[in-house]
Amino acid sequence: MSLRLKAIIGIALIEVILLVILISTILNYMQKANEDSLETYITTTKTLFASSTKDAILSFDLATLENFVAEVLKNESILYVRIFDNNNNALASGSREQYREKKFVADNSYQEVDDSVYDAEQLITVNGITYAKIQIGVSTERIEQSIKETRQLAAGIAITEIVLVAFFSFILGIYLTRQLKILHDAARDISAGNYTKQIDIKTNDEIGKVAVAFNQMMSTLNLSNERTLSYQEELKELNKSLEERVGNRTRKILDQKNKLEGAYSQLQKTQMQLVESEKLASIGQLAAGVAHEINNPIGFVKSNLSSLESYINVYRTLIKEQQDFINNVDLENHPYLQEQFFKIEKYQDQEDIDFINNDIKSLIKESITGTVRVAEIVKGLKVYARESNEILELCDLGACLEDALKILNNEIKYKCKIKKDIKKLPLFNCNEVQMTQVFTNLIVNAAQAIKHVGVLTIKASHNTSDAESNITISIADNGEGISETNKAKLFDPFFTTKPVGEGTGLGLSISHGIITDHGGTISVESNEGVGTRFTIIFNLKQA
Amino acid sequence: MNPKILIVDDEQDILESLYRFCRIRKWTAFTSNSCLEALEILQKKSIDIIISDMRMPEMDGVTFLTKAKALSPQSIRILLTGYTDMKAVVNAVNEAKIYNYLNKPWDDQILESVINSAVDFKDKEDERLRLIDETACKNKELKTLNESLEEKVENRTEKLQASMKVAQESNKKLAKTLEKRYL
Repeated sequence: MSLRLKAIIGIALIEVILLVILISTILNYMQKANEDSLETYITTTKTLFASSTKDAILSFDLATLENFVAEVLKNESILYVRIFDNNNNALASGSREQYREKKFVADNSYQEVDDSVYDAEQLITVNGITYAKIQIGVSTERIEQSIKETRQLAAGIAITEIVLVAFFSFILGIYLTRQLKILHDAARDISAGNYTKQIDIKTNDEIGKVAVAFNQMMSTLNLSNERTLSYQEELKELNKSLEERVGNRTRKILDQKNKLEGAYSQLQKTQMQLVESEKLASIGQLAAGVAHEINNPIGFVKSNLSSLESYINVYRTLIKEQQDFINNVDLENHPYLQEQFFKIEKYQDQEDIDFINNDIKSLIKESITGTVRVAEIVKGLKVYARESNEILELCDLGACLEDALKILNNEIKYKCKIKKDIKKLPLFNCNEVQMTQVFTNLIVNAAQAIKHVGVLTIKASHNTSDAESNITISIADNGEGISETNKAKLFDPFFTTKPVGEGTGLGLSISHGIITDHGGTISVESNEGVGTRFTIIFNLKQA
Repeated sequence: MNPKILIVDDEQDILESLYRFCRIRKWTAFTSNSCLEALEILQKKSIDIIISDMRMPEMDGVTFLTKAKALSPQSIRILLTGYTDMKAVVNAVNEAKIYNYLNKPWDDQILESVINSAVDFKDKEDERLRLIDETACKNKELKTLNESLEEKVENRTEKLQASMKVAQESNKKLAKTLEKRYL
């Protein structure tokens, strides 16, 4: 419910209630007063009349009574007068026109009047004997009229007042609600975000003060809003730049993360490689440690075996000389000597001297070979030991290949035709001795794979592209090829397909180690019965 | 040829083995497993070839061979070692000026050929030194002869000059006389 309505209803209600109370109170009082005065008047009148006419009644002066009645009737408010004797015979009466036949209903008070006629009765009594009854009808019209008028007036005033008050409060309500609406709209504006509108109320009253205060609040709000807006702008700017910076930082971090991940997987790979090579290196270290201890005894054993061979030859010659001597002795003449001779012959047969004579040579040769094998193995194992100051220098791998071919030329020229395709190669930082060792090993293997005659193809080239640059060397033969099972074990140490005693099985293993030490790769392609090709690739540093 | 070879190694077995090696080839061998003893031998005898190991008690191979070089510079020094430290070997070559080095275990044939060429080399070196000596001597002689020749030539020149003077005088006198005669 609107304020206006509330105000109106409230005020009206109060007004009405109070007015009603007031008017009813006043009317009541007035009525009471009028009634009282009427009753007093009636009582006085009837008493007076009674006392006036008493004598006449008692004296049965009807004419006087008629005069009195007529006199009294001159009074406007007296409507009728009737006098009755105690037998209810009318002694005298008089009335106004319409009241002639009016029935008499005694009204003892105003309240009992129901026909606007106050019917009053007065008994004339002397010494307790009632001689006559006087009935007077007094018109209450005037009273009623005046009451009615008063009531009407009061009602009129009341209604006017109510209306005026309602109207005024309506106006006031409108005024208030209008101002309030302005304030309300202004407040709504504020909540909508418009802080610039000012309320245009110039009155000096409380509403005006509110408006002034409101306006001040508006300007303050506007100011703070502008400040807030500017802060927001700043913040947006900062936010944007922050977003940028965060984006940059995130990108950098992602980059670093990728780099770290790459480096980590690289590290893992390197670690695995290191573990592998450490395993081999520890074998090598062990070998190097005992190598010296093995080399010394092997050295003198080998040399002693050769010396033994010389000594045995001396003994052999001595025995031969002695044999010759024995053969020239005339045994028939010297029976004792004959006995000794038979003893010797028997011993010779018993021990199978012929066999021993033949066998000694092989025995010593094989023993010497054995020591050579031990020496070779020890030498081979030393390659696995990491030496901290390996000699690295820039060398031409093409020249290395040519050197190896030159060294091996005599061995292989009868077995294979050599096809060379060695292009110009950039200098490569490496241990030249080891490289030559590798090439020698591969060329010898290739030549040995060829049973009768074949072709040995050696290629070397430098390949460049946008992404990388590498040296590729391949040594191929059309010999017997390698089976799949053997291919898997090809680079294992001590793996060989040669019969026992020929070769140590270390050649390819060592070559593989040398190549990987230099950061390169060695791979093999082979088909049984067709041929084999070993390919070595060295990746050169990206430019 | 009959070279005298001094063998130094800390292992007795190696010494014996090398002694046999030399004897079979009719070479004279002195063995020792002590560097100090070896240096004494070097002082007393005239040694052609010294074969030494790297690892020995008392001092290492380089030190020993350097001292040996000081004592007997014309002996050929050979290193025979199972030691694989290349740096030390290079050191030995440079400091002690060794002629050759062999790894243990050695091959008898290779050792023989190395010793043969060492002896050959030494002979040639000795011959060279001897020739140098001889040349020096002959040079000295030549120098003295030269000096005396100078003297003789000086004398003769003086005499000749004197004679020439006399001859010139006579010539002058003769010319004057002839002038007088024909004028």
